[in-house]
Amino acid sequence: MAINLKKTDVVIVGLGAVGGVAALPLARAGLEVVGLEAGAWLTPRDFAPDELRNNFRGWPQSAQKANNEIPTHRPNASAPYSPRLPIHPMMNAVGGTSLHYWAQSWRLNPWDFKVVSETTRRYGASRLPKGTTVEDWPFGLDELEPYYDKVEHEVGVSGQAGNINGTIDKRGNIFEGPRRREYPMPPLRWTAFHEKMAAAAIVR
Amino acid sequence: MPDRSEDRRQVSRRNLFKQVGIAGAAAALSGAPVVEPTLAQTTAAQTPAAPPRREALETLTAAEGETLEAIVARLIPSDESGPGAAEARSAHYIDRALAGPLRVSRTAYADGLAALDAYAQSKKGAPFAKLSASDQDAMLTDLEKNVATGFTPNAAAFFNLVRTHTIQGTFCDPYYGGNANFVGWDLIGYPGIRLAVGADDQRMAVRPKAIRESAYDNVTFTINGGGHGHQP
Repeated sequence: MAINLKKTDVVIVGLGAVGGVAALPLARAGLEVVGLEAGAWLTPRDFAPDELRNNFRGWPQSAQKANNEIPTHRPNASAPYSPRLPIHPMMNAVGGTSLHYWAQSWRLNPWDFKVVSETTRRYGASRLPKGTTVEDWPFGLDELEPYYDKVEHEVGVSGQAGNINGTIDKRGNIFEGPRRREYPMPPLRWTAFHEKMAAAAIVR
Repeated sequence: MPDRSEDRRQVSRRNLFKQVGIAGAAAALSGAPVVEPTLAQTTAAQTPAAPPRREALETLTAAEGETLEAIVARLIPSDESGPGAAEARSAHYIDRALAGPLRVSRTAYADGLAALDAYAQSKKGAPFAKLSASDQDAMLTDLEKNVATGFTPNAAAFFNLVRTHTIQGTFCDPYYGGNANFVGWDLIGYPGIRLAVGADDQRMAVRPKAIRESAYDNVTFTINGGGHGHQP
């Protein structure tokens, strides 16, 4: 039997990285927002660094819904079912997978938006597999850049810019597409491992 | 320059674990001499592990428990690197877990432990726990090489099952009943949870100080996260 709830301006189904990001500007604009989420609201205790629980027994707080509902996948109807991963890498919780990821917020590179035309230009059309469904994006990095910028500053991404409005900074990634300003947070302190890698990789 | 002896220590520890699985610890130690005191040794010398206490078995029979204790003591033995799986109370961890998350393995343990005792009896004339360490190593090597008979589905499967759970019981968070007195973490130089990592720690320029605290005893991982948690 249907239950009639109080009317609201916006209902967001799923409070993960997409729904959660949408909720903020909608609420700031003065709209009443209701979010529906299958997972629980987690507390710090749910994030205890416990290797046995988290890595070997399948972090019970993580993906009970996905683990139960996503059985198998296969590339076409005649292929055998591939066994699904014992532990689904996504999260069911308020915050979704944004609660539990490697905290690396990369932008796509300019090249990524033009994978067909750039592959063809550089390597020839024969390098694309026959029958591939890969396509160029319908727009380029420049169209997405303002939104990358907005989200990076909202969540506080740290890093060293390599290209601000076309000005290359060798301390950053010189191959990245132009960004309008520096990251909101400074780059992380280097470790001894970084220094060894850099010594081997940087061409002076 | 990094301290090369650090590398050597790590390699010898790694070899030890690799070879424990191949030919038992006696062979591993002769093949990979430890050249200088490890962190575990130093720590062990400072705080000797308390002898394992007797406690109720929750799942295993007394005979099964005795055989399992003897197995884990050979898989990660106590030696000059410090206490091993016996002192970590790895068998206690397994006994408890077989009533819970590992319950699907209960039958495999019943069958495998009985098969091991039968095999030891037929080869060496005594149940596994009564054999000398070198005879125990020989029996476990037969299991690992899958030449021991009488196991279902086979000896290697049982060996790998116990090996996996012995490692879990030695290095898990102590909350689970293993890693008693943090001997597992001391053995590999794992300091425990560090919420803030200083520049020196990050450069690995200094040995991290052992914290010896279960994640569940750390105030950050209580429901309110030491007062900083967010509740809806």
